[in-house]
Amino acid sequence: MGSKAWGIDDPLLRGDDKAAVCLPVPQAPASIVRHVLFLEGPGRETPYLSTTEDDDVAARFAGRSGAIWWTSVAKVQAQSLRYISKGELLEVLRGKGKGDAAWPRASEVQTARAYVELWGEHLIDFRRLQASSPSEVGDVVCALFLKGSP
Amino acid sequence: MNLFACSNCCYNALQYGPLGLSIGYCVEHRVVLRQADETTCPRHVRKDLGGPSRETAHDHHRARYPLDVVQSLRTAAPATDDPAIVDPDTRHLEEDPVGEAVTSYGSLDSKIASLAQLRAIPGARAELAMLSLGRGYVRRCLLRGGRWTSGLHLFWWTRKRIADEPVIGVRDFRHETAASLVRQFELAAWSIVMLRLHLLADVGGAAPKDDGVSVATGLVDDAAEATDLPDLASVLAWIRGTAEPRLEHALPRQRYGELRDALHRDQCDAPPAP
Repeated sequence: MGSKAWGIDDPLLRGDDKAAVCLPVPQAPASIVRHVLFLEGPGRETPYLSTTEDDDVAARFAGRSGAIWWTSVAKVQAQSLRYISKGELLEVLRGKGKGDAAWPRASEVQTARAYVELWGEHLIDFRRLQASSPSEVGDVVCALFLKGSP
Repeated sequence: MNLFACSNCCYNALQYGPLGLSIGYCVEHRVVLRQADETTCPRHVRKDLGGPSRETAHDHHRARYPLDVVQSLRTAAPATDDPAIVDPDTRHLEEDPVGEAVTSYGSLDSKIASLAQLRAIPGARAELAMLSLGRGYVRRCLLRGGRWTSGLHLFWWTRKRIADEPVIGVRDFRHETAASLVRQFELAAWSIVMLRLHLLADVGGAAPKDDGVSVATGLVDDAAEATDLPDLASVLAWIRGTAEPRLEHALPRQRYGELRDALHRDQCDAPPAP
């Protein structure tokens, strides 16, 4: 429960499938609220990958059949991808949202914000790869994430 | 945790986010959910969303998981034969007052009787269960052509406690989160208050536009716009200052009594079930 403050050099964790991290779709809608709230269901196309600073949260998303993967802000930036910190998310998720978090329903912006807090969520934005093929996106994701504990 | 798992479904009233028991219970499939963060089914109705987004999410979900059994969220493999995931034996849940009321939902004289039973149990878990099952109950009544008055009692009960701070104890949590403990308590209480507003909005949204109760339709977004952030004190202050007077005007005690008596007469006059 937030026992140790996360720092920029600490790992970003992700609970996902045991075989691979699911692939983002750089061309998908960029709404952060839509992404955080999974408004189009599990498996919805999204240009973001969520990560967490909290290992318990990652373990819950991995579940019994999944695995924990990890990366870091440095690795994200080395791939020239945009890193959106929890602090930045909390800044834009207020009222009816700002920038990519702008959304017509303030209640859904608030709910997304609550999840970002509860999950210690940070995003990786893959929109820079909009011209890339799915296999090229897959290569970048493979280069970013390692399976297991850091 | 996963928003499409049983733990975030209206028909599992024992869990919501980090709140609740370590095991859930599905009133649709009538099984104990031992891994409620990892299972789902096509009947899934999200607790955390308002009507339009909830229905869109439900449609997507039903298309992805067509088989009407409790199943793995990740693989869609049926979980019905795995006692480590679902278990029909409710004995242990019945040792908990909220668990007992939830497992009897649908087997008493009426579902409203079970909801009334939950209403009488103190604490946030009982309120969560009433609101969660209540949203599912109202939604189904409306889908079957019912009127907004199918949610009359739920609306009234919720209206009466709308400005009360939810009472949450440390034992009401089923797991930890990334937030500080203080913030985790606050967000849990805030989520219960928003769930109250969602239920009122569900009922208000079904009322004719010229009925005062329809004022409740916009309560959730009005509260969010007025408070900017998920903040318990702010939303309760807004409710006391703005929502309560609106709701008092929409459904004063006398009107509630008249509608309640009319509902009772309808039920007494109805022909016996075949």
